[in-house]
Amino acid sequence: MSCLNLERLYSYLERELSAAESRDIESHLAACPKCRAAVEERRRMLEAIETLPAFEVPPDFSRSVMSRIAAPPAKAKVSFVRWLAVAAAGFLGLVTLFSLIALVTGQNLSLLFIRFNQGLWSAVQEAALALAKFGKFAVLFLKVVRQLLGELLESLGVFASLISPEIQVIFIFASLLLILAGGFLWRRKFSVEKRHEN
Amino acid sequence: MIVQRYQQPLLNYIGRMVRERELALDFSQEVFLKVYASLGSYRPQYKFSTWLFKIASNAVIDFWRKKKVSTFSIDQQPDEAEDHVPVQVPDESPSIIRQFEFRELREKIDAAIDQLPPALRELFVWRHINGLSYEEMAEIKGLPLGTVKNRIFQAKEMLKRLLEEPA
Repeated sequence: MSCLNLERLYSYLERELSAAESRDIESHLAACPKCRAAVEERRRMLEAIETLPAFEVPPDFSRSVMSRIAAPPAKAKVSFVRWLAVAAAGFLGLVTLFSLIALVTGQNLSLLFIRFNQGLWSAVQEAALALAKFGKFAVLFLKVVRQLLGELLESLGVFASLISPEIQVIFIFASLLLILAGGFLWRRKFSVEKRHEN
Repeated sequence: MIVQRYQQPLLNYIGRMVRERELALDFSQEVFLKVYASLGSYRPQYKFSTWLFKIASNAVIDFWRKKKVSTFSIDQQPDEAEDHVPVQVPDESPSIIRQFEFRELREKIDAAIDQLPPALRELFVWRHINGLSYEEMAEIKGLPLGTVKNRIFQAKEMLKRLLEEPA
């Protein structure tokens, strides 16, 4: 019998072989000092691996995990505080800016505020007008799309009445296959690009 | 309770993968939080430990991606040639493994495991430290059973070579 291959030797050591296979190996080991030595050194290595000390878990580990699970999400609190800080900083900044302008130009601070309010109001009005125009345009666009879709469906109906049902079925299957192939190719391209990025 | 039951195996795995104790503790907490957050997606036909280790393995991969670990990635498929080590038979060279005291051998193994490439180390730790079955590992990593067995074999032989290298 030729010498054992190492993968099989590990299977023997880890008791993954049948009783008959193990007996075959043992009879070879009795006659082959080279394989016997190989088994012994790997057995020793595996024994040492199996008895490696476990990671020491701190006694309060599970309690600390459970307290984090039970705790309400701290994120919301932090973000509210952050928003409040941003708003306060913005307000203070605005007041400082107006005070500086009033100091440099020698104008009345309250008049400056009134002018700023008027400017802001006219900006809001213009934004509202632009929004209304955009809404009108969107409605018009949707109407055109609807009309085009109607035309397309109508011409499909005419097309379907001209050809036999068998050809219609073949046509539908071919279209589905094309869509699936397109999707597959797109996904493949995307995953290849992602792998390259990594 | 999930945490108490799985903290030891999870920490044994993560500790070996990230190598630093404090980091491993924080990391394991995060994994348990992820597990609790996605308990709704657990399907009882699979073993819970398989699902837990799948989440942990993905977290380790993300961690290494962020750290831009230079060794070949844990989820990367090794090359064909790397994946198929030719059948080997015992060689004639004398081994020094038997010359070590058992305690010394354990210390050397402990250090040598850290030098295994991540993709091999992960499977080796699952098999020989966590005691997972080959089938479970194949399920977690989405790899064929033969590939898993082959990689674990590679890991053990690489470990043996590392032990035999002069200090």
